[in-house]
Amino acid sequence: MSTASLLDDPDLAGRIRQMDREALAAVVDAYLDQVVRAARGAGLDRQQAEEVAQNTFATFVETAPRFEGRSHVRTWVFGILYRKIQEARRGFAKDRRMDDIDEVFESRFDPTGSWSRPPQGPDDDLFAKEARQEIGDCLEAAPEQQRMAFLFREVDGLSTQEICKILEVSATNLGVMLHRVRNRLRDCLETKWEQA
Amino acid sequence: MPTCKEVSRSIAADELSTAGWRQRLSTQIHLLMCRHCRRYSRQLRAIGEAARNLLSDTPQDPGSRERLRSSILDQIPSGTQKNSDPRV
Repeated sequence: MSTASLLDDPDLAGRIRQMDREALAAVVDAYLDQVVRAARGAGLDRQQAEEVAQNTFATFVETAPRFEGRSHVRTWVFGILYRKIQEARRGFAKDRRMDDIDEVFESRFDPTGSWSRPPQGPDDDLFAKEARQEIGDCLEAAPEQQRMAFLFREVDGLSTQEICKILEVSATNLGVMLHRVRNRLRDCLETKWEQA
Repeated sequence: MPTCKEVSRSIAADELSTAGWRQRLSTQIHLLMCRHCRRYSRQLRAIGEAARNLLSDTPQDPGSRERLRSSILDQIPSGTQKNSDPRV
C-alpha cells in the first residue's frame, strides 16, 4: 500500500495504537519534510531542526499506543513538534496580552476608522519581489509563537482548528496572533522599503 | 459598510473564512471601492507567498534526509510488523 493510501486507511488510528510498523513508517514518510521545514521556520539551524525532528518522531512512536484518532494524525505530530521547538528554544516567547504592534496598527487609522496613514510601498509586483528578498529577516524579528502560527497557516496550510490544537490557543487568540504577525511583517517590509 | 480598520483587521486575522455572507459581501464591496485596503490585502497575500517561497527554497539534501529518516525508523519497535517491507 502506498504511503498516501495508508494514511487514508479508516483504521489508521487503530494501526498506530497497535504500533503497526508500516503505519508508523507511513506517518514518518508523510510528515518528515514538513516537520523539518517547520522547525527551520521556527528559527532553528539545520542540525537543531533535524534533532527536533528526530525527537518529535521518537515521542510520536512512544505515545502511539495512546493515539485515539480524535484529531488528525498530522495535528498530533505537529503538536509534539511544537513542544519540542519550545524546549529547544529556551525562553520561547508566547504571545503577550499587550503588543506594540497593536498600537502601530491603531495609529494608522483616524477616529472614523479610515486610513490616516495608508499602506505604503512599491507597486504590487515590486512589493512581491521585495517581500521574497526580505521576508527571512522580518520573520526572524517576529515573536516565536506568532511566527509559528503564521507559518502553520501560510506554509503548511493548516486549518484554524488544527493550529489552535497545536498551539493550545483559542480561535480568537489565533486571530489576534495572525493579525499581529502579518502587520508586523508588513510593517517591517514597509520600513525597509522606505529606508532603501 | 465596514470601515477600513474593520476590513483590514478581519483580513489580517483570517476572520472572513468563518464570517457570514453579509460580512463577506460588504468586505468585497469595500475592497472594490477602496484602493488602500486593496493594497493592504494584496501586500498580505504577497507576504504569505514570500514565506512559502522562502521555505520551499531551502531543500534538505537527500543524503541527510535519508540518514534522518532511517534513524527515526530504526527507533520503531519491529515486533508488531504486519509486513516485512514497511514501504510496500
